[in-house]
Amino acid sequence: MGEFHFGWLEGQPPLVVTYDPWLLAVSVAIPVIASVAAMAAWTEGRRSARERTAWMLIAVSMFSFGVWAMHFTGMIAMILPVAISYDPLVTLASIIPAMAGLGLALRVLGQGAAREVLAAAAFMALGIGGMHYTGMSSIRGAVLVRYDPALFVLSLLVVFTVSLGALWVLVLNNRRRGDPGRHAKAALAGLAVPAMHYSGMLATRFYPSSGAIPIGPGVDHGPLALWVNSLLSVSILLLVAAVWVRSARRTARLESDRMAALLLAAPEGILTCDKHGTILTANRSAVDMFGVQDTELIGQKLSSFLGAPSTHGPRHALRPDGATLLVEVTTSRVADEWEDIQSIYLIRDVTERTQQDVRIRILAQAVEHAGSMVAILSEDGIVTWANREYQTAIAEPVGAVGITLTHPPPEGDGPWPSFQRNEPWTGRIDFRNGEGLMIETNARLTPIRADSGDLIAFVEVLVDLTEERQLQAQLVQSQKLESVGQLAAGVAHEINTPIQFVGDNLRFLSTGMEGISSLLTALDELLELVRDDPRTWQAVSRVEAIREEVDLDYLLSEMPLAMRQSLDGVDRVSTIVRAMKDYSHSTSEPVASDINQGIRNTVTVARNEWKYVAEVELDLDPNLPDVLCVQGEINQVVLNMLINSAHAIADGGTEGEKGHIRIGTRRDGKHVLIEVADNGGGMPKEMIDRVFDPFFTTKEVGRGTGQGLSIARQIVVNSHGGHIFVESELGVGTKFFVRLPVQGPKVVSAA
Amino acid sequence: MTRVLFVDDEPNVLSGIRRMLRAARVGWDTEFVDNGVEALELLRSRPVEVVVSDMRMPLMDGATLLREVKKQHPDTIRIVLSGQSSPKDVLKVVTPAHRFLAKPCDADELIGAVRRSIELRKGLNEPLVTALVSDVGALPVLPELLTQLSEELNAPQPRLEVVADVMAQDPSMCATVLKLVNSAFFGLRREVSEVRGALAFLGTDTIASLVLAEGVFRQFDPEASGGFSLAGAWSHSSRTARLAQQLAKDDHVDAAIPQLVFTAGMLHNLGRVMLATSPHTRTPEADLLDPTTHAAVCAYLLGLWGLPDAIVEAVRYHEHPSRVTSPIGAEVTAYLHVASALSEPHPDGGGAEDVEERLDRPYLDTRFGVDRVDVWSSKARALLED
Repeated sequence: MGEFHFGWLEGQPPLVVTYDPWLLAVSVAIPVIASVAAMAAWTEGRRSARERTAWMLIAVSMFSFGVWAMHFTGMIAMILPVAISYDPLVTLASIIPAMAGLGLALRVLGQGAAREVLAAAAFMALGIGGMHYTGMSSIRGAVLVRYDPALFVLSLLVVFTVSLGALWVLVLNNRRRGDPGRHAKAALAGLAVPAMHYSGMLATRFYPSSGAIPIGPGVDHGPLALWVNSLLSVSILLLVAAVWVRSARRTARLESDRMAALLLAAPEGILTCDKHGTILTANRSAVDMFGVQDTELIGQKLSSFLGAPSTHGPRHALRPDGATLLVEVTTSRVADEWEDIQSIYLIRDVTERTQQDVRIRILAQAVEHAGSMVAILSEDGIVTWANREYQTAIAEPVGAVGITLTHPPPEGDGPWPSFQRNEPWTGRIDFRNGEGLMIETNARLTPIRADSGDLIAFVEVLVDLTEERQLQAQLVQSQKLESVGQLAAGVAHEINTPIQFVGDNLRFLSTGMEGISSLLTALDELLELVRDDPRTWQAVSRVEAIREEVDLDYLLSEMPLAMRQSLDGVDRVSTIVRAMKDYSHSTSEPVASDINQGIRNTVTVARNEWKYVAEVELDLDPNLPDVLCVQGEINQVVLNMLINSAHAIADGGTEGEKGHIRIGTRRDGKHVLIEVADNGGGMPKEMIDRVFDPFFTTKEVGRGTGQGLSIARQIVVNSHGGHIFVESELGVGTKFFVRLPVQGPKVVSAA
Repeated sequence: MTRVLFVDDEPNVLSGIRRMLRAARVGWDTEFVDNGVEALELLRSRPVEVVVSDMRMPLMDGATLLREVKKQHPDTIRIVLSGQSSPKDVLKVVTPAHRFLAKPCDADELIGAVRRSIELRKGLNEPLVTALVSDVGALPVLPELLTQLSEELNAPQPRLEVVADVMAQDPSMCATVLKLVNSAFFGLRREVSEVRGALAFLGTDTIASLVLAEGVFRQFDPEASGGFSLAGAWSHSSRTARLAQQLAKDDHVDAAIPQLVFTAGMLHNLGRVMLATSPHTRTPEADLLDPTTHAAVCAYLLGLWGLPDAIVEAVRYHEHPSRVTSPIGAEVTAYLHVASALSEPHPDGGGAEDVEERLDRPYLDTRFGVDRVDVWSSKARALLED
């Protein structure tokens, strides 16, 4: 152990002390760096409860080494005119006060209350001071070391003050997180050490001892420098290692913090399993998904919760409460260096989504099969999607402007005023379909708006009214026909009875007349014989007078004629009655029918329609086969064509001259062809195209409904599987053709 | 003298007919009454051969009257003369009436119909006629065919082709359908000789009303018919019909003659069947076995029903083709004669050696030439081989 003495040696001059300026600078730098390093370790220690002690130890060591290295570097920088050496044991031991002081200081520092800071500063000052004076006492050689008591106390006060300031700053620093100036503050704490050292040196005087050998400058401090260097190297290594460990730790911790946050936040259930399929971990979502506590999941077999993988669509998952979920599972595997494989299951609950998918699919099918034309239009009216019905009616609709926006309604406003009132638009739209047929629809155009109120699309729905209208018209027509038929049957019966006896009587009269006539001829001869007989002369002249009076010759020549014509008339009446009865007699099912007879009946019934404007010529094939058809309907078709021809002649024929209508039939393979030709004015091309359209008419109001030819088409094409077409030349005439299959409409057999 | 009774509620019709007949000098003993009740009274006091009645009358309508007449005087021929015309009305009298005439009816048509019904009856003995005439409308049909037919007709949408397939197999059904179609009420201006055509003309609705109406058909009961085989008789009919039709088809491009021949073939056995199966028949055994009687009975019925003359003639004289006078009738009869004679097994019995005996070669040879008859004969044998 070294010696410690107060008081100057009287009468003896102290040795002159000089310093190497470079080493002096180094001695100041060392504690500053050490302090910064210690500060870093200390901060790290405060973060982790588990590693706190270790980091504290490192911090204390760093600072102590710094104090120690400063002291001895300061000693090496000091140049004395005599040789000195140091006691190695004391030199090494001098580090102990520093470590103890700093350790105690940090221990008492606590939360940084003023009292604690004061105590810590005292411990720190004592530690640094203790080290300094212990280090001084290791000096051996031909010098006597003496201290001035006042200056000694002053040096302790200096170190206490600087320590207090540094710790105070540190405590403040601790309260305010992420202080950017904390390194400068640490450096300030580091400066406490040289402050102490050099103020301590002021309190120290070296006196040559007896036997001191004066030496020149450049005294070899060899072993001490080696010690200092070693300790410095160790502390730098320690520092580097600590910094490296710390940064690695921090990266790992960040990584795991991120993972933990991710697991917690993930909406998917995440399970890890060992290679036997036993669940090791489960995140919050997994626990919620299965409706259990995590303890009920961990340690269970995954297979008891999750169904087998399916080749298509989601897998089934079974909750312990019996509910079934639909899930999508993604698997990945991790393995450590010992091949301990763990599987990670990412489980997404798609129950809702799958149900929604199904709902959407059903909805899409519903729209597809709505039985109406449905299209979706972009906000500028372009069709972006159309269902099959729409596509059937309108060729290639996608990309074109919606029908309701291109076709003005026949009555009322178009869609735009409704949209301004923010209402869907409803109205009638007529358009020509892909086949060129006029289609009448009830249209509805509904704007679709986003939540923001912006227009994003339209839904266009068109309900075809054509068939309904046509059926309605046809129903009205057939009801009319039916009631006419009933009346006709009744009227026929009423008329047939008198015709029976009128005919019988006429025949009787006719036969009787013949008899009377021959009797009168015989009487005439008798009259000639007795004319000159005076006995009968008077009677004969009376007979001859009556004969003159009644104009017997005329009677005899005209009466048979009158009889014959009356019988003809009766025949005609019965023909008309029979035609009327047959015309209106109708079965509802197709039966073998004589088309020629039907035409004759129709022409007879409709005589009033044509007889003032035209002659009707029948050119009927006598070998025409019977056609399987609903005769009443075909009669109606012929009637409609006949009336149309009569009207055409009335409108377009030559004034004062009767027109000509020819109705012909002929066999055409497995079909029968009916042709109705007129020499009326003919039709322009655009009219020919529209002549079968429902409600198309060129006739003035009251003359026709415009339904006749449309109904004819309906009957021929739809009910009988035939064809109807028209040829027309302007100024020449029009020909209608009806082609009916002899075997009737092809009925799909039930078998 | 032929006694004819006319019933009509309109006196003018009756006097018109009376004057007309007087003028035509038909020489009938005629009676005229204006209601059914009186008509029945008159019949009770003095029966007539023919009743011609209106349909719609007050007190008792025509259908009721004719049913009563059928019951009380079964051998009276019953003709309807009416201005009514719906199929429904016709179906009402399809059983009690033999013939339907529509007003206004031409004098010649009316007189012709009455004359024909009387003439066809000549040569038939009275009890036989009684039996036949009373049974008209209840023709025997094979139960299984009737079942098949009812099933199809009761289906939601009966198929005409199926109905026709079934009905064409049964001569009783064929005859009834042809009777209906050839009645004046259907307004056809021509005779229908072919069953499928007739069925197509009627349509399944009317056929259903016909078949399902009571008393139109009766199911054949083998027990009550002393072991008579209806199926056997029908199969002979259809075999003969097909054979005769094939022979006719080879000679005629036109379908009319083969159709007549086929229908005649189908129907030519009807007399035998009626005599054998009628529960009312009180016929001496000898008459039952006489083929000429069968043919006469059958022709009488077909004639009454207004079937085409060629068919009536062919049926009547298919055993004796030389007696036919009309050219079409002669041809149709000849085909039926050959086919029926050759078609084995013949219902009259006899083996192959009797075939030549049954064929009237001398007549056929002179009328159609030896070569043609040889061709028929060999063709028929070849077809029968198959």
